[in-house]
Amino acid sequence: MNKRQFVGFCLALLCVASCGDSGDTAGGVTSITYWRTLAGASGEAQDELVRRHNESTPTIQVTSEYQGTYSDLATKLVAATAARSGPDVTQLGTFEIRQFARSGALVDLRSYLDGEDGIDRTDWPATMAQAGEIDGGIYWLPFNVSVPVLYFNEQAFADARIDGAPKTWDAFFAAVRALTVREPDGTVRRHGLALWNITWPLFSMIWSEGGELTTRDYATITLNDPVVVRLLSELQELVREGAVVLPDRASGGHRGAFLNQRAAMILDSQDAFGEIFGADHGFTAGLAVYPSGSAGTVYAPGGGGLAMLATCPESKRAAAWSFIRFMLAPEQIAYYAKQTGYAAYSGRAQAAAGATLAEPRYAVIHSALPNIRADFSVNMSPAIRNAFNEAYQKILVDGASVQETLDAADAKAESGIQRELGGR
Amino acid sequence: MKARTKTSPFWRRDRREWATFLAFVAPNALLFGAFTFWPILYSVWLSFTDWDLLRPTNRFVGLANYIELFYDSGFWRVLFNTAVYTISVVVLGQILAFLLAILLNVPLRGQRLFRTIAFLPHVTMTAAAALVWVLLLHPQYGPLSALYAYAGIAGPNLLVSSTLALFAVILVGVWKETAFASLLFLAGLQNLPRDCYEAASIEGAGPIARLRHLTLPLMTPTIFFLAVTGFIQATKAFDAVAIMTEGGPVYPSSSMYVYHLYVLAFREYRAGFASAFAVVFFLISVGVIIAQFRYAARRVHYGE
Repeated sequence: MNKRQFVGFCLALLCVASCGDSGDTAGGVTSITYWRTLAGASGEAQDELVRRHNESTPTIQVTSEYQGTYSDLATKLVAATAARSGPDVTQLGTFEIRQFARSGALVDLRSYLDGEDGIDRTDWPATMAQAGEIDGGIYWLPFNVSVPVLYFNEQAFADARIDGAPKTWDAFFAAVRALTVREPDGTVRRHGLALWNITWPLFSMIWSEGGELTTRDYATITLNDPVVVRLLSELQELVREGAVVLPDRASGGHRGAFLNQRAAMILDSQDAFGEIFGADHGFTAGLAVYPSGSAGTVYAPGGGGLAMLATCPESKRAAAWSFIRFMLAPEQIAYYAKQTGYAAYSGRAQAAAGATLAEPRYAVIHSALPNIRADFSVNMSPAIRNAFNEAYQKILVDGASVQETLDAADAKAESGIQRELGGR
Repeated sequence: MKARTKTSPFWRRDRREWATFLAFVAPNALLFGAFTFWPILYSVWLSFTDWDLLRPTNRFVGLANYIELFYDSGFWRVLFNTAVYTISVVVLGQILAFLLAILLNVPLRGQRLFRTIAFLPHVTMTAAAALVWVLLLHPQYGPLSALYAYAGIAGPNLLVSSTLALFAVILVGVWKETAFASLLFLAGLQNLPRDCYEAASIEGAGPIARLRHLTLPLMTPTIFFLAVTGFIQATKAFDAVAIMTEGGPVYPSSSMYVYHLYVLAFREYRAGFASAFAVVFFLISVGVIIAQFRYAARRVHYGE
């Protein structure tokens, strides 16, 4: 091959490459890339749903790609968005919804939701239907919804003569003390409660006692609400007494402490199902919803949802929406709930799940659904989230003054939210 | 030929030589330009904006990020943590490495095995090493807790203390730095001129005097090299922080500068502010390295 022939060959190759299909649509088949998080059963169930989708819709073929934890996924989405590449549809935690939506990284799904091929949301919990609403648009739809649940060591309860899970927060604090077991030399052998190093479980506690941390529009931030001060003071006192421990994540965290019987209770979500009920840990774990407070029963849900990325080309958005609709259909949500323990959050999904929900653990989770308040305002603002989390740890780890720390956190969150809202 | 060189501009002369020069330099220059210099310059530009990593556009905010940084308690805390970590790792690591190298230089049976073991921490991935240290420091199941229990004392729980967590991270850094530095010190010790030592011994110099007046001055090039590379390495500490403490408890009690940068940019989506952090850190690093070289010019003996 001489030089001229070589150049000609290269040009021909280029032509073939550029005239060929980009991989998005070929032979009437649209390819959709779906990025997901969650490993184990929660990941496998998603892949199974994708397989079922591809089987039922030959014209839309979805590729599911695992991208690590929620935060790994978010980091990769940021990089992909900056590079104008990435998936068409993604699973997304609650932390990123607002930031991504306001930056134009997500597609407003309202027109799809309310359109001809929309989704009937009348049987969704009201707050859940609005959870992904930002500045009038809807950018996120719930998929794997988790509700807060209390895990307890049944033997420890029996030893302490506590009959069943506490029904109120006051009874809960009393149980924490009663469940704490000490060695003859005074050192704690088993704590009553191991706390998570994130503040999510506190939201339910605060709301059900009538407290607030912020309004949804961030007009009023109240990290130093008297209810927050009272509850954190109580927890601080319990930490001082040795009844509550805040283990570090690297050493196994609160779940590790519970499984190793170093703590009799943990406030968690059904995300821990597999870890707690999937193996024999030498004791029987019980499950209950969180206690109620003086203002009633309110549960802060967690988990993740689905979103369409703005980098998804217009030509593929209908296919991307079709996939989202498939994933959120009652049958799929019911299947996912059965496989993973996440909540079948809509009425029709619960009906589709059928007898599974009669199983005691599922019954506990689904009994919480009428009382969920899907308000992710704290999660969605890094300024408020970080200020509150920092205060929480200062109070419980360093034993700092509760009122002063929360006042400082409130001021910090106020100035941070001004910046986030663009009023710098 | 002479007349031609007088009238032609210099780039026309030796055209072939220029072409060769460019052919060799261009690939590197392009790579450095694209992946080192351009990002640095772009970071400087971003530090004057409020970019959130997601928006296609950004707003020019002048010096606002730098002013905010100056008043930000997080900045001073991570700067302090990084300084403590770097000094501890470089100084403590070198002292331990030097002592270890002296031991490894002693002719013993199984010397090679000891040297391999001593060097192992350096080739171990920091993430893996950090995980092992988490287990070692585990308050209930770690071997250190068993030691404390044996001694009848309640040992400190490093990873759950906002005042001690930094020391847990330092421990891993020193452990790794000691391994690397000991190998270089060992190589340095083996290359020391024997005749100087013989002469010193004849003159009546004892082991301490030989160490102070011969070994240490002759080892200054190695010490200097390790000080510079150790500084660069230590200031980039990230993995151990991410695995062991995530900068907490009570963030940023054990966070480091680079980890904090990551948190600002990728967790809080404040790329503009994070860029201001990066620029300040770049200037501090360059300043420290210049100071190291100036000091070295006076104190490092290359044996001329």
